[in-house]
Amino acid sequence: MFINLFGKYLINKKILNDVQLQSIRKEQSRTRVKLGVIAVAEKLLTEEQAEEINRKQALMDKRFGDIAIEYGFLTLEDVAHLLDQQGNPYMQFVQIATERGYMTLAQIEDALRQYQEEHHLSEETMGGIKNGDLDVIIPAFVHEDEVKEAAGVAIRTLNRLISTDLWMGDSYMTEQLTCDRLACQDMEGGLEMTIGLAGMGNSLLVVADAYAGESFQTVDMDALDSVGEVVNIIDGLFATALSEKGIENMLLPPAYFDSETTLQGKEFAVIPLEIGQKPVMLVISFGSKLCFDGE
Amino acid sequence: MVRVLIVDDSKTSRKMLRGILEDAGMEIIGEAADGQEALKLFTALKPDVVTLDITMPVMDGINALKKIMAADRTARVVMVTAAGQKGNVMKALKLGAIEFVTKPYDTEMIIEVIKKAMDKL
Repeated sequence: MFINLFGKYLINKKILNDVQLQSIRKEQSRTRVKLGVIAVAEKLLTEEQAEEINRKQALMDKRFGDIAIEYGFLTLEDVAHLLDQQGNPYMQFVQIATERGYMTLAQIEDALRQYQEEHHLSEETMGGIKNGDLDVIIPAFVHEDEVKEAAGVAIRTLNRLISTDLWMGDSYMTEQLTCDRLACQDMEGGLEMTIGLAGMGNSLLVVADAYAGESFQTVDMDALDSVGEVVNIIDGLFATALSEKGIENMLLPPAYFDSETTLQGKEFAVIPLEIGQKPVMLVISFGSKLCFDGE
Repeated sequence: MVRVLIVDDSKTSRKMLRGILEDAGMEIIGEAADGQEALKLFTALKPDVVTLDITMPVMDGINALKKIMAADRTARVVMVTAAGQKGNVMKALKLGAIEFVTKPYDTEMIIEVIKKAMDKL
């Protein structure tokens, strides 16, 4: 996420060009290693233990390291060691950009200071952004307190199941949103809400293809079915989080729209994302369900 | 060969599950997209195991399970659901479902659960 957030800023400021950023992204993607893979290679976990943690992760919205500590497989120090091994994205960026002569370290630091000032970000938040820490990045860009948790579940799930190539912009509230394609799901019971993924043109293909492991030609109802399953998984994990607070919610079958649709409701949150560099909108209505054209 | 009926309103999920189970040497004898269709196919095909999604239109998985168990008390049903459906899962287990698995599918877990279902009875 750091390279996408900072890289897009640098492009907007005409400090980097698209080709250079693509080149940095490509290089960085080769260096990302999963915690479980490192842990097994370093003999801190057996393959069976890593598998067990992966299975538990499918049931709860928690990080691999947190589950490993909770179940006594790893200590906090072990996890810190593994995280160090994964590589810091900021340092990766510095290394690639300076080695290729795109920017000097001083230029990077200067641009980063400007980025921090323009986005009114604290030192602590900047530290999280440089580490690519979603738990710090998400609340920094999702400004509405009531949707921060659901947005966190959604973005972490997209990061885990669809792509680590994510960018997010500042969230905003609206009463109406028009999109070309939409997969969404209502929840009711203790708390009424709707969560959806909306796209323009064929942008949702990035989600549909990655989840189903297929290459859809267009965002038709089959592709939307795949997107809907991702929304279903997000909603299920968020319902688990609500359940831990004593709020029992029931999921309703997902709904799909394969033509221009206008979402309406009481104020709802829109979080602009780019997944695999394709624009996707995460829509969260908290406290009431959304209505659509013709309803 | 274990004969399985897959019930899920999502075509993507049915296809993914079919691939996993066929690779494990099981035979998919039918697919249904809602509870009503599931009931018809269960009666007609008499599968060894049914995988049953909970959240579906027309007739949900809980109601379909009630009717399947009423038709055959020895039916082996594995519930398949997104996380966060603890209440429904508990209800399903009380109604006679053998086990449950959550999406996204964990290949080893789903195979293990179906084998466990086959060991029952």
